[in-house]
Amino acid sequence: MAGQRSEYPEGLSLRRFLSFRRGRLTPDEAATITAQVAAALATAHVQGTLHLGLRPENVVVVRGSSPPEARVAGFGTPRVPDPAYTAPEIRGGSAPSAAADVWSLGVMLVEMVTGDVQGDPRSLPSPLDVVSRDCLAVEPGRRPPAQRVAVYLGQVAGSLNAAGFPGPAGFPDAAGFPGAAGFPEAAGFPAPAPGPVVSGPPAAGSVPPGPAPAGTVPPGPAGLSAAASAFSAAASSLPAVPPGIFPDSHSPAGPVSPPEAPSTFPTVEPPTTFPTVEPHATFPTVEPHATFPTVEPHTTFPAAETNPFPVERPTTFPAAEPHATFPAAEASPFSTERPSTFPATEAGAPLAAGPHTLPADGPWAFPADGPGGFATGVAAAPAGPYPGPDLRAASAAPPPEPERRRWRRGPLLTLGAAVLVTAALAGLNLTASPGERPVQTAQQITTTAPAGTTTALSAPPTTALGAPPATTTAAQEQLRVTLAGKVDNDGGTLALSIRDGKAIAYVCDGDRVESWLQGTARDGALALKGRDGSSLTGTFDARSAEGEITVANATNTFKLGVVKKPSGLYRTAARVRGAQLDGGWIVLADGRQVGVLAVNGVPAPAPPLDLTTRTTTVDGETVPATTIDADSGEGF
Amino acid sequence: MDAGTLTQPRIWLPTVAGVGTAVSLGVYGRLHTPAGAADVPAFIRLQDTKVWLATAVLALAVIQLLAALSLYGKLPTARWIPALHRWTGRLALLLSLPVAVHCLYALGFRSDDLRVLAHSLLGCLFYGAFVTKMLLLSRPGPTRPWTLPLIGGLTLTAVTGLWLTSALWFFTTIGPGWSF
Repeated sequence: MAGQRSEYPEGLSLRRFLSFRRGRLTPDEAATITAQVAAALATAHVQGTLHLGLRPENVVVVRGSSPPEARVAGFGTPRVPDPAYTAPEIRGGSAPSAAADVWSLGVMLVEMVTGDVQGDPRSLPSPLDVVSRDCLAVEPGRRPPAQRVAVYLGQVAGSLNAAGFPGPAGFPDAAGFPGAAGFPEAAGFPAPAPGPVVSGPPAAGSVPPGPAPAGTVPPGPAGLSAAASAFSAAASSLPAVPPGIFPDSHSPAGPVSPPEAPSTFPTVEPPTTFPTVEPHATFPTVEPHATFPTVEPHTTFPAAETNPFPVERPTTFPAAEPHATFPAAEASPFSTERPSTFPATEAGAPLAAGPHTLPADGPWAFPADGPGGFATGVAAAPAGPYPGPDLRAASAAPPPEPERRRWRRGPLLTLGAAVLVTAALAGLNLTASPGERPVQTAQQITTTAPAGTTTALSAPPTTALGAPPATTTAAQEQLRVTLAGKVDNDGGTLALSIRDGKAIAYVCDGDRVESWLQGTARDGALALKGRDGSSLTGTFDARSAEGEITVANATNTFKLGVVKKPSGLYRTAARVRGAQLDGGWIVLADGRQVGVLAVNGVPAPAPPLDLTTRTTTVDGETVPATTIDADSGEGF
Repeated sequence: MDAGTLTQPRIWLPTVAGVGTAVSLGVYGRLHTPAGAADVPAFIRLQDTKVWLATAVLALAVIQLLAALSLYGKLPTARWIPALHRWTGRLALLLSLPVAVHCLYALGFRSDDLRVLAHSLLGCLFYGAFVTKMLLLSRPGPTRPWTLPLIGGLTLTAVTGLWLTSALWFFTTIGPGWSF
């Protein structure tokens, strides 16, 4: 990608604007921007300047403008074109023409609405699909002139932004188009005062026919050149365009690619990119004939047309064209009775400068009859496929906030997905913690605190992180271990679970005698008591425990070793067919089980415990058991 | 989601939601009894996975920073930069979730020492800031230009701090790929 900056003094590039909007704009925003860009193009085209580098990077969306106010930068600064926006005939090596800019415009329109530079024009909402489709006609001659696009989309945007779109939509309303020099403000484009971006004025206003001091811009080539320079300083670096050179698209030294083409997008300094042109110089008030010196008999715009939107030709795209997939029956707003609005480039036909465009008689004639011509033309438009009433209704809300009225879905979806994933992971953790135990093979000392781990490894803590390991006491208090073994003198089997200073013990003989004890395991000393008078005292460390246990009035010594899961302590408390079950199991290190199950308080040898499912079967009923787990705290 | 009240919340809803998220995580982490882990080797293995995930998150966060700088015109831009920013962000979030869930579930909010406390606080801050950022992005209406950089910077700060207080600590004290 060209590493262009796209920061402009007065706003963002459309590229960045799009990116902030996550690639897509609303149809009316897209129409608004496209209309303004088209208007700027139209003005430039009239003056013999082609852009040929039109793409979102070169369109400036004025900061804070709402509806978006777009200006076009980069006129006359040819650079390596972006193929995505380059008309096919240019890619094919044909000489550039104004229609190529219209293609780029169409690509941008599609991209703005669909978010995809290669989006399908047909997927655009009703009025825009036809417009973009026409702009993207493969044959350059079938593309509408930028001026028409400007007027049409101005109309569309105006109807979409029902509350009053100040841009080109103002055309139909004569009051919104005060003609003469007042146009920049009135048309919703702030005076380009110091803000030297080449702004895209409605083309109709670009050549105000008003009370311009005659001779401000001398007619002839110089006048053209001056007019072009109003668009950008770079444009003025182009050779002065003699009359007729612009239409000659074969001219290799045409205004499009001057030999001294600036290498890159000159946005380093605002003055360079955006020449500080005086407002009156930006939109020179010249006499019409001074602006359109290239009077050629074969005009581009049909002078006799009174309706600027003729739809005599229902099919804009002949079947031979790739775009013929578009519904042929759909009336194109730009279709004319003639196949090409832009005469084929080979014909070397002029873009926009015909005698009929000049004064007053053609509806496309920019100036002299002022807004009337447009008003008429636009008024005829609604008969066409354009501003449907549904669209008006759809966006009738007043636009204090016309950019986005709804919550954007992407971030919300991201949040929602995050919540779902979190929930799934939490559930996984809950269920996996028990599930993973049977496969664990290492010793069952658990010191969850990383600090404790550090102690065990005696790894040097990094002072930078200020993470001294916990003290020995703390580590011991965090000891989590399960131990099991035999009580001497056939006193039964004993299991002891120690967790963070708490201890639970279970002793049973596998037949009748069982007892649960609870107590503390601190500072190496064990002290537990059971409800039935049993007690346990002794010492412990991370690997063993020993002491005395008193159960059923018999006191015996014991010595226990660490057991690893699934060895350990299990218990159950359940109701099966009206019987209360209470039981406990000790699973020894070698896998042997010892357990007592009391049914309604009557102890008996416990049935085997299935350690994988952690269930036992009583009278054909599956009864779940829980573990006394020093690690997870389960059962504590 | 129509006009009306839902479109009204300006800055406060994202902020309140973010703060609420952070506080809720902290409270849960404090109240929930840490589940711990099965045993030391398994725990270390798990932590080892986590620190690598966290490192991947940090790497993605660096990409996030670069992409954001590009979006704001401080670096060259490209058409795919916004998508890059979005998707690296989503991936980073996705990778962070197992780490965070395990931290919260198995370890909880702790204040044993400065590192652990800072890590706990930053963890809460990160997800709170993330929630705020998503809602800011989603919310209709104009956004003050400094909000997104601020909250993005906060998120990045949190990620960096989280990594420093966990993965870097782990690498320097226990070592990468360490296991019994």
